[in-house]
Amino acid sequence: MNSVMYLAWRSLSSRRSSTVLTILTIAISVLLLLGVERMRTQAKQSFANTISGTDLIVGARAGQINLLLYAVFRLGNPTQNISWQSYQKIAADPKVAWTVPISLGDSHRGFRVLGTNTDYFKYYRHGSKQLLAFSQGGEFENMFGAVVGAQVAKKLGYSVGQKIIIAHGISDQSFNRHKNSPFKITGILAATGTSVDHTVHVTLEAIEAIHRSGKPAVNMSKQAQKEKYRPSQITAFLLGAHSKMKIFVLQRQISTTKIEPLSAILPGVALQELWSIMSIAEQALFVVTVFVVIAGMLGMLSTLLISLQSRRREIAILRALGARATYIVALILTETVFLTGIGIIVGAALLYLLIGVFAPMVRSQYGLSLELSMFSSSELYMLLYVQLIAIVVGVIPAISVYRQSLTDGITVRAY
Amino acid sequence: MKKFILVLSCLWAVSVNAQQVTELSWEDLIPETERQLLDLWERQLPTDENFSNPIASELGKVRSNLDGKDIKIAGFVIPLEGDEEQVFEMLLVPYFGACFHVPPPPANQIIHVTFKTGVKIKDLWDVVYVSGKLQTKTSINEFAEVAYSMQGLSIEEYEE
Repeated sequence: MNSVMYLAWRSLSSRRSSTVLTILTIAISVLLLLGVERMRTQAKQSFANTISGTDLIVGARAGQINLLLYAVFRLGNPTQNISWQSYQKIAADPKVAWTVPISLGDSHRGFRVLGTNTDYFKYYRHGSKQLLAFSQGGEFENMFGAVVGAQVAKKLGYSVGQKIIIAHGISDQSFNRHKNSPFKITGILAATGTSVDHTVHVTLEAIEAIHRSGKPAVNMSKQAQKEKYRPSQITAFLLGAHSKMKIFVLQRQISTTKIEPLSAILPGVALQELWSIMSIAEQALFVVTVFVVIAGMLGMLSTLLISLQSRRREIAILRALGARATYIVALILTETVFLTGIGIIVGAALLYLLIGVFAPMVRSQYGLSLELSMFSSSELYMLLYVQLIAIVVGVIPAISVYRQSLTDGITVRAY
Repeated sequence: MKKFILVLSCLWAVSVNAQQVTELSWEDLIPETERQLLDLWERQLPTDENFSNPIASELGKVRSNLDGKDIKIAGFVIPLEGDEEQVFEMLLVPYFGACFHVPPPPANQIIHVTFKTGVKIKDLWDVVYVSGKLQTKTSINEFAEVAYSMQGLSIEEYEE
């Protein structure tokens, strides 16, 4: 057995260029297969983990996916804001247990700014009903307090007590940075793996203040500040009901209210709808990657078959030296195992390299966190299938070698 | 293999409880006295401007004699909690789209189902059978409402 492996290895390394190319073909198809699988599962995971324990999300009238995307994942922009009055009215309903207001539209050095109140830290849940935790500091102490997500603090090197400036609009190169509004970081949140990590949280009053002209009254008393900068509108709010049985009634009330056109969505239902839309793209991508793997396998098959032509003499000599036909078959099969095995290793290495290089960009552009995690069982199964298919494919050249008679290679041809 | 485990776990559940699983319809969940009111509710138009819904709040009494029964019921799933693969907490309702277009179902036409180990849901517009132990306990909040909840055991596709 060892001699077969040794011979296969030497044989492959003597045909270096075609071997390297075959390995690369397989590596790239494996990279694509794993990459698509990883994007798919991690995108789903980070979406599913971002919201938990919330019964309804309420915003201006919009499709449920749109509302879910901008209110929870900070993707896209809200269609319209909702008035503070209608928020107050719905929040006061006896069926409502808690609400968390959300005000979006500003940015800080490429990170989204979210205006809210301290209820956010009390009621917003992620993962499996986990509350947010502070890794440093705590909630807002006054109107100009800011709480930053783990990635914001890490990337911008922020610490508690530091002063920052918040701009109006999402672009980083915003011309109208609100230089007059000095914010002080009061807390840094522990990492969650969700969009919270990339968010700067400030108070609703502060959002109101940076949108008004003039220097904000920083030195006013807390109460006076609250009075002066009472928010006039918010983007959306999260809502928890006292009883799950009342979710539908509340939803009906909110979406048929005559105060202003509002939408209330159930996060679980909206996510499910998102999955079903995504699944079409997922399946298309999966089919494409399967074909890429097949193309890689065919490439390997053709190089093996071509090499057999030029190796007639080599094989005939092996047979003449006493190697059995089964030995030759084992040799060819071992070569395919080597080629795909190395291809898989190279492909996986490329995947980790690419994730390492591009993960920060993907995170800041699409809010999707790709992690350098170990292989999942489904990924391992995929790799196993690739290896098994390669062995099956390898049977074809192995059989054609088996059929070549001993004399075939050593007889001098007359023509 | 999965099906086999499912069947086994169902068998186990049945043998432990030593009780028959009754298949219920949604109408079985409504007390006799309320069945006429339901027609009225179905005809109610969605014009509630003043933020109240008198008929729906009158409806929704539960049949407490169903408490603790092992039942099987067909309905539509409204997922509440879950991860990327599974659902752990859901509402089961008698018709699709309970969350839009139509007046909300009364409280006794909603079952709050929790699964200790999550279940996979394929499509929201598929009818599924959910089996488990029905409870009519008072939910733990200041309103002390009585409603149907279920400790879900299994979920299976509905066949005509």
